[in-house]
Amino acid sequence: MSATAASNLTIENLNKCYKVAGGDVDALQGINLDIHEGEFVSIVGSSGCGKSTLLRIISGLENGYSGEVKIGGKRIGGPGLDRGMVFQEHRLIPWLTVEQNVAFGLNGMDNSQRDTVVREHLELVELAGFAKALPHQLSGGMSQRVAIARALVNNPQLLLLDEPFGALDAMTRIQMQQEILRIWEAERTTMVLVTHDIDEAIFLGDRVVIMSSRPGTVKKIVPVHLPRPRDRSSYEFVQIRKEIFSEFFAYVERPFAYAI
Amino acid sequence: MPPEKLSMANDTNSRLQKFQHLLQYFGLTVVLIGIWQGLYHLGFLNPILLPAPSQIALAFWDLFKSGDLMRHIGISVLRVLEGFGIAAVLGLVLGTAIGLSRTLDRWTDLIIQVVKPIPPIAWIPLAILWFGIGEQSKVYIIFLGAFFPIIINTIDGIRQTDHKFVEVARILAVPRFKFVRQVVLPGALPAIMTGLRVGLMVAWMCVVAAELIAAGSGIGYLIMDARQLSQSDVVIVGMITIGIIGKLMDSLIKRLEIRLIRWKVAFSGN
Amino acid sequence: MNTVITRILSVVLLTILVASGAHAADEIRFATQAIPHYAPLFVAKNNKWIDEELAKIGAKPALKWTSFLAGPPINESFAAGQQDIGFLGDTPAIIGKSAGINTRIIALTSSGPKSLAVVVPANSSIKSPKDLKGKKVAVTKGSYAHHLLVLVLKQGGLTSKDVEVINLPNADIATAIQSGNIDAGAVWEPQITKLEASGAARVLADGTGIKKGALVIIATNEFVTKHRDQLKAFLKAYQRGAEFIRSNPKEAAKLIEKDVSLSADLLLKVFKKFDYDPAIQADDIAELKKSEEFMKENAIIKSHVNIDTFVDQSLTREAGIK
Repeated sequence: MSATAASNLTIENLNKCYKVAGGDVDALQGINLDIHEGEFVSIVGSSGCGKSTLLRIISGLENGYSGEVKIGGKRIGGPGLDRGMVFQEHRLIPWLTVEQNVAFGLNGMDNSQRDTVVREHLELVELAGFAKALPHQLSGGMSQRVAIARALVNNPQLLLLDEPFGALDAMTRIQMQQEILRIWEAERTTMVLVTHDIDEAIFLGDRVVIMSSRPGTVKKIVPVHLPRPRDRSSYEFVQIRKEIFSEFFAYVERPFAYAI
Repeated sequence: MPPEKLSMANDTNSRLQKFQHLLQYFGLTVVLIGIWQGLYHLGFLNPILLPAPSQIALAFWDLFKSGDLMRHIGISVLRVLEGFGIAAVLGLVLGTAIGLSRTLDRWTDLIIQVVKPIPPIAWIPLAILWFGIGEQSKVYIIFLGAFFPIIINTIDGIRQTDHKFVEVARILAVPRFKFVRQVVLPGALPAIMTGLRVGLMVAWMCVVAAELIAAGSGIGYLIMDARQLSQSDVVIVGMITIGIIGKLMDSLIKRLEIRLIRWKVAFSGN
Repeated sequence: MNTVITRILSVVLLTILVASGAHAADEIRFATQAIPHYAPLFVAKNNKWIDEELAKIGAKPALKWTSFLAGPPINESFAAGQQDIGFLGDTPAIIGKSAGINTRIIALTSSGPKSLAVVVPANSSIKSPKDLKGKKVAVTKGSYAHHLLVLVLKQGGLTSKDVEVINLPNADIATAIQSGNIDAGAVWEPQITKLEASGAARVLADGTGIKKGALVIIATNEFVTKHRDQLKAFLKAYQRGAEFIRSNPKEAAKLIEKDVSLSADLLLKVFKKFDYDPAIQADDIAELKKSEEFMKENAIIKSHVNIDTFVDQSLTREAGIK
């Protein structure tokens, strides 16, 4: 029980506001969220709802909020090795090879150890043959896989993914969704994925957190009890999609209008 | 049209086009030189004020044949390399230190910004007082010319480290030294190379100013000496030589830049 | 397209105009140097004798004076068509002519073998010209002191290649001698007297026996053609100045102290070194020819100057000067 609690992510009454020219903007308001160890949670919302801000606060990159963010009961400070992050851009260092990029996060171990860990993680993302390649020689999907390997290299308890497949084309996106699922099933790291793609949120998550925007709040949490692998065209999948859709769009004959 | 005929027509077309381009490239220069020479033969030119191209060519040939031209070039290039070398080392080291430390930057910013606009020529009186009229004062002037572009571009390059990489490094708890070595410095390399290129160019342009300090040799000296003797053709030979050598130096550094930053060519800035 | 052609044409036109040199009517432009070699000029100027002589022939041109630091800059100014009458050493005059400046020598200003010299710091170990080998020697390139230096080196069996020649203006050479930055310098008055008076330097060798140290007055050929009478009037005034120095040296020294930046008592001493007779003698022409040959041999000038046509004695003769 204590082991499970040790890596639970608890967010209590999180508020963040920005000072903008006109006055104050509430980015996040009253966020309460509990994420259990080993879960895959999708957060879905339209642009500007603060979901990226939420992720960045969890990662420790941003401060200046009120409320509590705790892991295993302990407040988070700044960024730490217990929380990894994958961004929308792969952010690989262009002049380092793939293996050097993955090794970027490995510090304080001797060379052979380091090489082993790097190799393991490259195999995990199925890019072992590209160890010596430079980022500009990889496709968008491949680069993002390297970024994922890099983020996992220190065995973080929590992996945060901020719209990781947003920059990829539709087909690669689907491949990458399957990839991340495979990795999650292999590593069982807790994953929090932020996306604006409703299908993606349902396909991947155990639960889908729906966020409203301006200010960002947790509107609804929809559990997804479907077994994996999930069929995107199955009746249950479509039902859940309808439910989440209706949170965002009112079905009018023509045209679509935002309901949030 | 039968295919072979078509391809031959294409060949002659592209050869014609190449010839046309060549004509356009050199055409204006040749025409202007021709007019210039013509004006001279018609008696419209005062040879002291503007010697004919033929006189300049002759002066160039004389200087080249006697070995004097190459000797002067060698001496000036040596001076420039000395001054530039010192400027590069100091500029890179100080620039890196200041770029990495906000505190150091605040301490040094005022001095750098005030001294930077002072043209190297204005330093000549002090240079002579401090270093005498020997090589040191000349190298000092050249050093001054090269130093500021190098240090300022180095500082900028380091400052411009992509914030996205900084975030990645924070999340992965990358130690500072490793971050500087693997991300900051290579990332600053394009700006540093720019600084070095500009610095070398300014150093070369300063060589004439530097050789105003009682030089006995060098291209700048050659120009000043010819001026004393009212030899405008030699003056122009000196000027053209400065231009050509400057261009050669720039091309060399460009090659070096491409070699060092091969990844940049492919990196589109994501 | 039209504007481009117009612009190109106007640039070409401008160049041609600059090349030919424009001359405003009714003025005489003098290029001088503030040295005691031209003392009669300053005496005549300060006593307003130039204006007097010109008035006698009914001319009242404006007199424009520009002071230069040495002969070569005067050459530049003549080349740009900016001067009518100039005062410079024989060496730069010949160099200018060789380079194509359209002038002629109309008179001497003075001669004085002791007015130019190679000096060394007072405590220098250099005792004779041959000791100059390998040393740092400063001189104004293209000046008549440059010629002296070459002659002095020749006395010691050396050429310019045996020493490190540094190009400096006259006054800077004096400073460099005093600060010990150079081993020797070829200078002309008033630097010699100033250096000796302060004890900073001594004369290694002067022009005695090797160079008469003649300085000349040149005028553009155009000016000679257009204003022959004005030139003669000026030469008469110059002659009066020279005579005044001979007869009243003390007064003359006081009168032109400021013009040559030398105190009256030092100036009196310097006067003794000069012969201010403006007439051109046969041996002067011979000296000029020697200078010209020397410069051609040493590649200081590129093309021959015919001294016989370069020197015009007619003006001094017609002005009644010996």
